[in-house]
Amino acid sequence: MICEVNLINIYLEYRDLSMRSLDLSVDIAGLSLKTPLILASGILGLSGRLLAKISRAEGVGAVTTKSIGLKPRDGYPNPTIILLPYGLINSMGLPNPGAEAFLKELDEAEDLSSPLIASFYGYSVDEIVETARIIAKHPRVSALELNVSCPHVSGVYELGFKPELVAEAVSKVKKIIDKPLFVKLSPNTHLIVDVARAAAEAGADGLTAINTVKALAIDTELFRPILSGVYGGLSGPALKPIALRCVYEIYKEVDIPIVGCGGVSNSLDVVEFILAGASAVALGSVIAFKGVGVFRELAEGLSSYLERKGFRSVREIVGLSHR
Amino acid sequence: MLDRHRRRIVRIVRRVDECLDTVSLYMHNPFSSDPIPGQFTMIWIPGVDEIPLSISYMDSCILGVTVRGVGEATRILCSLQPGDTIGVRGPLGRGFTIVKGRSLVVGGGVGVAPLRYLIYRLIDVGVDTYVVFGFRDKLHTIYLEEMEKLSVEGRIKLCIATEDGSYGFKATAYDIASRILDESFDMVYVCGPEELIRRILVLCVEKDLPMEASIEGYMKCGMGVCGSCVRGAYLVCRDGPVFDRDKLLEIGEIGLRRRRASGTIEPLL
Repeated sequence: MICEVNLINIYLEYRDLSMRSLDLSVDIAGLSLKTPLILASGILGLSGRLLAKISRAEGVGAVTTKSIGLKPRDGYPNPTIILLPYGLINSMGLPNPGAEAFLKELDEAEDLSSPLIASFYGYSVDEIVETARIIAKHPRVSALELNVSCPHVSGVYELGFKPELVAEAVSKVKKIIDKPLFVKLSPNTHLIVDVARAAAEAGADGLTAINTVKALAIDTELFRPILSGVYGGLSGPALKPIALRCVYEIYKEVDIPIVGCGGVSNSLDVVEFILAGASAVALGSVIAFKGVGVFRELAEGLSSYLERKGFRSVREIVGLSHR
Repeated sequence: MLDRHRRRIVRIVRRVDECLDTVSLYMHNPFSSDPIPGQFTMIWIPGVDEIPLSISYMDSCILGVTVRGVGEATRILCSLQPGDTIGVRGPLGRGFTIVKGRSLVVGGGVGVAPLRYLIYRLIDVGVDTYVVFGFRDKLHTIYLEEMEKLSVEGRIKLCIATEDGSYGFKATAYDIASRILDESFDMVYVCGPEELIRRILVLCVEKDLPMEASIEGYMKCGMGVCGSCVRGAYLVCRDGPVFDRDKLLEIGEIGLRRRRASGTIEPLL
């Protein structure tokens, strides 16, 4: 009896120790994250107060803002979103208050407790550079993410297909900012690896793969596309195998860190992305289904996985499937 | 969730002109679950827009919404006739909490829409219901006959106020509510202009009374992902549109500022 109790105690102590030594923290492109889980751009990231609240939620490694442009943009009229059994199609149309107004928004992000990544876009290289110049100066911005891949706003969408344009934008932005720069890649091109390589060679510090896949839905009663912007971007579970393939391909060819993004809905999805080569993973559509509490759920699931497989940190499994 | 966000195309079966610029539209109930008063629907006018409207009427076969024509989408909605089709998803968001005992229902303008459905529920569960509705003038009153009938039948206590005194008391809904409100009330429900909500909020904090108000945000996705309807650090579509006193206080900006489609903050005062 005594022996049995001792064994249980020893087991509990051992388990406590192993849980404590499990390290979910990651360093990516100069950012130190408590967990590899990042709030993806476009999800909830409009208000400084809400971003700060999410940054304090358990399991959150970093938060990304909605994409910010030089000038305010209303986005498209509704319907801007469609819920499907396998994901979402959205055509928000990049609504944002513009770079200058967004600085005031960030002033309200008090108690921010995880790094904030500011997503931004422009219709031309000049506009991209100007927007970066404005938002990078805010002390609460830890890193920038260049969105060259929004599938429902033409002008922004096409940039991401042109390796030389992306390279030009990246090198010009890097010259004027002293913060890490990520580039969010479009899956709507066969050139994704070329764009990734061009961004890396031009000085990008990290890559986010992928943005949504250009998609469409039609109302069969009314015989018309449902979204007012006609085309939207498909996200959610349907996207995951495509996103995973992109991360895997990019990891083989490009040396800078990758944030995996696309259809993560459980902790094994997170593991898959990391095994494919992602150093961190961004969550988006899953928040529609599970709320912000999903960060904690996935962080715990990731811990259990590492423990079960005998790993001590996330870093040990990055790209492990490339053997 | 999938079911609530499916856009169902329904035919309008009846329209009632409530006043000069406000219309109630009735359609076959497309919902598979019973909505809670205060919950809302997203109404799709194909080719125009999709807008949030609170549920103003509900029985087992009919859903009703009440809309005031203020912008393009709402004006077109106001012009629809029986037989016309619209898309509907819902019921969405968090509604009012039904509390037994004595309740005060305060509404201003078209903000009385969700309160009408609430009042019928309160009556059903035997709540002692006091209703205070305020309007600009007699030409802008809504649900007047219906509320007067409930009052005559003794099912509610009713006070109507108009700013110019053309009907009922010459006062605002706030003036009347502030006179009636005392510690005997178990819940105060409010919907209407944010100025009204803010003042009632201050009153309920002073008197330490529980309160719930339905507020607005610039709604886009309606499912808690886009963040467009954020007020304070809450989403109106998912955490609201009904918030309790403490959350309203935490939001802080009620009646002071709001966001436009772009997310740009606009002061209200």
